[in-house]
Amino acid sequence: MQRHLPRAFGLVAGASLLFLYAPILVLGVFSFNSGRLFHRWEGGSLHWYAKALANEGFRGAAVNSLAVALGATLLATFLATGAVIGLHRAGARQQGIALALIGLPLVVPEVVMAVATLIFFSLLRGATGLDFGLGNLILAHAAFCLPFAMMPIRAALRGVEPAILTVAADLYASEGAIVRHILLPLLAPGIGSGAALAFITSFDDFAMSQLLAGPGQTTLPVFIWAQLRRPLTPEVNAMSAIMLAVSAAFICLALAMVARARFTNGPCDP
Amino acid sequence: MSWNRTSGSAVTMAEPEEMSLPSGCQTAEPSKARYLAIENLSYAINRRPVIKGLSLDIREGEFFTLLGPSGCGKTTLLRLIAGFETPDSGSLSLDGTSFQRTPAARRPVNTVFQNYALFPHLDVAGNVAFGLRMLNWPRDRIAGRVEEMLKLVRLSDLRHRHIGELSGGQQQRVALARALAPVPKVLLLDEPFSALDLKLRQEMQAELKRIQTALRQTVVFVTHDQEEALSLSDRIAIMRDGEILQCDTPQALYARPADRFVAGFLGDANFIAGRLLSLDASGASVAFPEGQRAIIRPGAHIPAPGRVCIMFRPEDVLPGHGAGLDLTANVAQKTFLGPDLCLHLDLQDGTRVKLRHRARAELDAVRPGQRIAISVPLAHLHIVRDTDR
Amino acid sequence: MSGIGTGRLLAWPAFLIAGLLGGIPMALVIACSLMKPGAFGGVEWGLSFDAYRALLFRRDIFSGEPVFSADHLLIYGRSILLAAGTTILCLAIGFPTAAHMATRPPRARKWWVLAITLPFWTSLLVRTLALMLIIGDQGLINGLLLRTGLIQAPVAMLHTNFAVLLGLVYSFLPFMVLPVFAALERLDPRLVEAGADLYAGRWRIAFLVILPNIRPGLVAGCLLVFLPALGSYVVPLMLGGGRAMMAGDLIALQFGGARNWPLGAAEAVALVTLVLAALLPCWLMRGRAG
Repeated sequence: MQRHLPRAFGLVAGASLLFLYAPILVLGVFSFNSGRLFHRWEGGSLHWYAKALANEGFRGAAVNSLAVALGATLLATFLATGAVIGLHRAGARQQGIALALIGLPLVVPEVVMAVATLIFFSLLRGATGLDFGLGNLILAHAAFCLPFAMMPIRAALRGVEPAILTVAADLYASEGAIVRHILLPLLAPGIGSGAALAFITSFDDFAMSQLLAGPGQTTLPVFIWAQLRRPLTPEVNAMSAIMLAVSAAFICLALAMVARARFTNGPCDP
Repeated sequence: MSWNRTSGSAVTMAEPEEMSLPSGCQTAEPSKARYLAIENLSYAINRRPVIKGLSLDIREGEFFTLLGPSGCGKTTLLRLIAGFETPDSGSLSLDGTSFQRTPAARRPVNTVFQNYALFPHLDVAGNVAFGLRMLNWPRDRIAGRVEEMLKLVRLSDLRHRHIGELSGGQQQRVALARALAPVPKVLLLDEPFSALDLKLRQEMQAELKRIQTALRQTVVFVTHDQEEALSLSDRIAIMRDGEILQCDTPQALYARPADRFVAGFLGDANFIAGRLLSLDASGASVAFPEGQRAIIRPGAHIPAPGRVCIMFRPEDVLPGHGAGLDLTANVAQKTFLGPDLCLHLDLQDGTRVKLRHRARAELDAVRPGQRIAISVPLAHLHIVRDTDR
Repeated sequence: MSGIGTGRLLAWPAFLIAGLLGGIPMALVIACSLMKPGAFGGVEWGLSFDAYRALLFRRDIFSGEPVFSADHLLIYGRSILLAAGTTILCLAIGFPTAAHMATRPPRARKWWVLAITLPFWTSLLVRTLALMLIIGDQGLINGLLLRTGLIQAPVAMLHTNFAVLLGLVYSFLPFMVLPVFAALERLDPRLVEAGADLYAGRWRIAFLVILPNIRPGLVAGCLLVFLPALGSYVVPLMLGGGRAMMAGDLIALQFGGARNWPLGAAEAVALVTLVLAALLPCWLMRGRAG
């Protein structure tokens, strides 16, 4: 089909790829700039990274980000796995409603979601005095990471032949045994992948974290945003580049897990 | 009128009423012969009846086949026995104990599926051991039993292979070993060889028969392939539309089919119409359209006076008159079948009749359009119930 | 059918969290919009339609009378226009990109998909920051232009409608490319060959043969770009700087500095209504096409 397309299409494709990556690459390259300007290269240096890592605020925000992401990931992945396993025998209508409720964060604008959560926790604090501190943020993150964790797990479930569950029952496995010995091992790569996606989503989040976080609960994106108030130096490049590296690492992890599973389990054609 | 249902032959015949075999295959014999007893089973899917008041007795150690066209309900019946569906009414019992309320996970019955459904995350040994693990067998007993099973299906070297690396035949054997490992009282197989090519299929059929005989395992086998059924089974039940039409040994079914459908399903059959004149101790007196008369001993089906359907196999037709029932026919088509020759013939009244014979000089000479004489020995004429639906 | 049935219990915790932190808060937003603002943020209990009135009217400082104010309409209007513009630009860039990707050999195609998807999984904040560093007054472009003497003073690219549009396209381009690519992969290549056989030139093939036959993919892409762009927050916040406000950062403002929660809630309700209104025609069309 290629030779029937306008030749310009290839150029546009290349240009859009360039467009998508150029800003990130520029950011990355200039994070190694020894000068403090964003348009003049003055030789390579790691000193902005050193500054960033020495920055107490940055370190504190990094710790918060990791703690929240970890907590949200564990919670979201656990809940998502339960939801996928619990829903797979449910009727189509039930599944539809359930998925719509869980997928709400994907449809509603993130700022509305953030504002709603803020109102909720404020009301909770006002009415009952309950405030979980960083836990508030973890719960909020878990709620909107839930659909992201669910996607790879559902995809993995679709790859499981339904006859296998019937055979397991035929071979004296109770419902719990089927989940433990058949479903979980077969869903494992999807669960791992879902966990990685949930982590990235929580780690990268700005809107919810900015609106919800109280003092001492600053996460990395919120911290970087605060830096924009002051005169900018490539230190912010370094901090951003570190964030990018973490996200990229996790997405590669997610992909590797799915790829490895396809390799070991292999196609099973009778 | 007494009727020995297991041997399928009439003891006395006096009433000229049409009597046919009840829909089912039951014995009045002691419980030893009723190992797996199915009584009056009914099951409907979306209010459409799929199994209609079916009864069946399967003997211990028997290789029993459910044979029928697609949609006849044989797979559904198998699933009811396995416990994947619950019957609407009727009972299932094993060795005297009723089990239609027991869930599948607790029935001592195992199934081999058509597409094997092997566990992709376990290796060969892991698959075979699965049922034993679920039954909480001690570890060393499991290991021993797995070895035994792998040796039985001749896959001992492949115990640590992953499922994806096995060929179709090997996967089939793992599925078999997996189902046999927990010593099931009844082994169910749902068209297990239909996905294999011819040579492999024949190999696996022989394997299965060998294993079944060695273990004296009770087997219920489902297939739509009549050759497979005839070659493997101790008894066959022919099913159609949720009912059992006839149930007997392969030889008896082939030689004495009760009705037209069974006759046509188990190989080639010719059918001609006749008129029943009388029925007495010496046999049934039947008149044929061309004027001939013949005395035929009835088989599984006792006819009523009037129109009857007479069946004979193509391989029993002889060229030339004199062997029994003499007929004259026009040759419509001549087909070369390797060692055999098949002639498609049209009788006077237009009925299509097939003749199948080892190639012989006199048959070689026959040309389409010719009129030839054929005859069928009386012993090979059978009266069958005419169920043309 | 025997097997997993009561496993449904496993799904309840997920519903709980989703309901508690998804469904219920949304209802709370509506409730909040019908209350009075508290002195230091938060709300004071008491039914009031002030927030909704404030969307279209403001109190004149002298007469105290409500006077029609187009401020909100301006911001929401800009949101719609920018979202529409983003969609059109993404379509113009995304369709050729997706078409090119669809004609690559299978292995290369996988890398293309990975390359287009990867930016989505990095922080939007960081990506938008990267744009800022390029188009800002001290950024890459202005810096280079000043140094080479092509201009005397930095060109103001940041904090304009243009910047927000650029940021939105940058952010949502993959959302257009992927569904269109999926639709193109499913397209029967023989249609294209038939077009070529009947003397259609390359551009005609693209627009008269391919485009009409991937309409579902195009619609999916447009929805996936338009709706989130409408409710976008980070991009107008960073690249608009308060001078090119969209509904998203306006809402956040009420919960931050402006401390008028009910107004923010009302604005949020208005935004969600807008999103649903945009979704409705597509949902109806899908129902009719069935």
